[in-house]
Amino acid sequence: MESGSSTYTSARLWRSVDPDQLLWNGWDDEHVVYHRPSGRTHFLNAASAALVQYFLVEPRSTQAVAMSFPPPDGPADSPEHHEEIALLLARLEHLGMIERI
Amino acid sequence: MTANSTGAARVGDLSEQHFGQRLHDGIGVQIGPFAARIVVRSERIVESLYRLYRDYALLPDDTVFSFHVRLDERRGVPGLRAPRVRFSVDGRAPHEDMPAEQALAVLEWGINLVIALRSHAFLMLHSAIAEFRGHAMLLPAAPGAGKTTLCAGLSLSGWRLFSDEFGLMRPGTPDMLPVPRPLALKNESISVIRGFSANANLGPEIPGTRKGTVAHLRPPGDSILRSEDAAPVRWLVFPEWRPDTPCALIELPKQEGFMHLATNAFNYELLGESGYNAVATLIGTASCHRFVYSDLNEAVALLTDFANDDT
Amino acid sequence: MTTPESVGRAAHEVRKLLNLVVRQPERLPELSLPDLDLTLRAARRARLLGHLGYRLRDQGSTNQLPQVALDQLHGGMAMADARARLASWELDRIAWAMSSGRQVPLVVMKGCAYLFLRLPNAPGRLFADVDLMVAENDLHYVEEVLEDMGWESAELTPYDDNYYRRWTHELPPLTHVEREVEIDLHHNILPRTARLKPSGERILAQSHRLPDSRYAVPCDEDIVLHAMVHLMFDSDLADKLRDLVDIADLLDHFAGADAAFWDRLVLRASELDLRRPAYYSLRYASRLLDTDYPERIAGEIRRWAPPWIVVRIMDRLVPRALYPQHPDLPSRATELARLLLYVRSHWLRMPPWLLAYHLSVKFLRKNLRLA
Repeated sequence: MESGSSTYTSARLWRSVDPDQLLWNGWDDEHVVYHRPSGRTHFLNAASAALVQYFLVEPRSTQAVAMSFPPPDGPADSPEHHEEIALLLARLEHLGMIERI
Repeated sequence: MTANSTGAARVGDLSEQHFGQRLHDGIGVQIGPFAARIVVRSERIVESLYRLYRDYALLPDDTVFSFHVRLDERRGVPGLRAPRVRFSVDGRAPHEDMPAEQALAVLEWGINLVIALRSHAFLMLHSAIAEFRGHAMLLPAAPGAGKTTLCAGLSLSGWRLFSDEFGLMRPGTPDMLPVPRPLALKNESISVIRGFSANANLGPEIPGTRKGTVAHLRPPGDSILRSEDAAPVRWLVFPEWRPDTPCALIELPKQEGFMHLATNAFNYELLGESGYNAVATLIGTASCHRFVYSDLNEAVALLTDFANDDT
Repeated sequence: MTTPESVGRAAHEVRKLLNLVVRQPERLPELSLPDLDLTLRAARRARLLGHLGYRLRDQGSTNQLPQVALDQLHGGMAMADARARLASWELDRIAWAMSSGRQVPLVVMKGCAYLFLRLPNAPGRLFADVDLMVAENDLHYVEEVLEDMGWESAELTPYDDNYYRRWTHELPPLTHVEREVEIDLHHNILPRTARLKPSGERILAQSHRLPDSRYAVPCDEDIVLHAMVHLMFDSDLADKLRDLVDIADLLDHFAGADAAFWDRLVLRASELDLRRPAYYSLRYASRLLDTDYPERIAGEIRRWAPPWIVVRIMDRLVPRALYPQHPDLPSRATELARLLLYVRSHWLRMPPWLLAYHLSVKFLRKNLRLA
């Protein structure tokens, strides 16, 4: 499902769900978020948390996310990094933390 | 009505014979916040129960009970069928009949099962708890990590036993609630505890259960007398028994502590938001550690020193 | 000790207590402690703890209860809330999976419909599965889309799988690999083989889309009739008091808002070939739970009755089955009543030759496993 959706997500925009749906706690750059609609708890690293909490409050494309969250070692515009970001976004969508518009 | 002053009648106030009769007809005892009604129709465990339950407060018949459990022994046919016991809750058996020699273990596990399946007014973490100078130490772990042994050791060394199984709290309140129960020691732990303290009052050894040989340790009288005294959590210690390893208490990242606590709980997911908030508050206020140990004496000494320095 | 009289008295006591607190939950705190204890045990068995908890909380009468009683009600509420949360999320994910592609109508049924419409019986109601109805022609499309998106069909024996697909009104349940909720996809409310032949198309035709939602709900009459047929013609009635409470609550709600609801219900029961389940449901809702229906429809409903001897037998069996047994003093007569209703439920679901075949397969399987 995730690989299937990532092929055409580039043209789409992503946005975080209504902030009321998420409860946050964080310690030492690690974040524990409660997703109200599903009742599930998710564990996010600092980058994923920043993505959901701040960056995607405004709708952005996969490309924009890839460029703003470069890999620690390597260029932000590589196809591998783009694919990794696409998978991450698909996973966050699957969990109900972001949505495509 | 759940309140028992320390002056309440206790199991030990009855004669063993009277206790046996009451068990047969149904006896009410207070187990932490739970009012239990227990019927036992198996003579063979009356003496052990009398010893293990000595300090529990008796409840009158006209009580609202948290659960009604029952153990019936079905006679065997020599050469054909061994005697078996049936555990039931409100008239229904949650599992198949078990060999009668295991009656005591079947009853004790059965009571834990019914608490775990029902008590969703509470957050139930899978954790042993002991209290030191008014502060609770949570020892959360999956079965087999040695939390019962460790908790038995602490409770025989001046710590107050809350539970070897249930980390119980009402969501929205900060304190852990004691649920003192007989501690089910398994296999090597039995001789470890016998060697650890001459005060250990153990029930009979029951071989051949699904967890091997089991023997029950009577909870210290003080922990039952004070079972209404809740305490806030100061330490989260995730124990792991590892053979031939020196004792070590290592700080654990809070996020990892959250994950261990939540994934090992009985009803964390079920409680949804209130479970999340309760665990977040615990993690936020208590310190978080991993604890590796192999020798019980060393482990108890280290935890006691640590708690001593930290209060 | 246990005598037929004490068993009879015990069964009567359970019924009396449950009736009292289902009709007047605010009176729960008035009960003596032993009665309160027995009521809570029976309510747990009847899956009514959460329902009672919410009713009492709405009336603000929970603070007069002993803590142990409150804890049990709170536990029941938490369990019901958790199930409702899982079902709502499952529906959210199904809507997401079905958001692109063909926009086939998806109608939520039973518990999910109560939840979406915020009907008064929804809070505290413990429900099991997600029930979705789609047009028969769309069934395979929906199944395919969901299977592409991570849901899996229950692994059944070839006999069971074939049985579902060939003879029933639903597919084998679907479950997402990462979650536990079962989805039942239906195209009708009774199996193809059932004695009664309601029209799934007619139910779909009268359904309406909810605002801002991917889902539709059946019309009010169909919601009630579905609950009625489910209880009276698709179950063994054992411990199903909760289902009768649903029906009573729904009737109260819809007819309370609009008295013409009764006339529409009567008409619709005839259109859908559901007169008999409606007859039984109204009979037992009024006899056991004091549901009131207007005189003007009473004559019509009487005409839906089976032969009087059948009514007499059902009057003996149904209450015995619906109410839970006294947990300490179960009655053998009740076990027999339940067995008879169990056989009846199969009898209603399939023709005799299929029933004989179905039961023989089940019997052989059970005994082969034991051997």
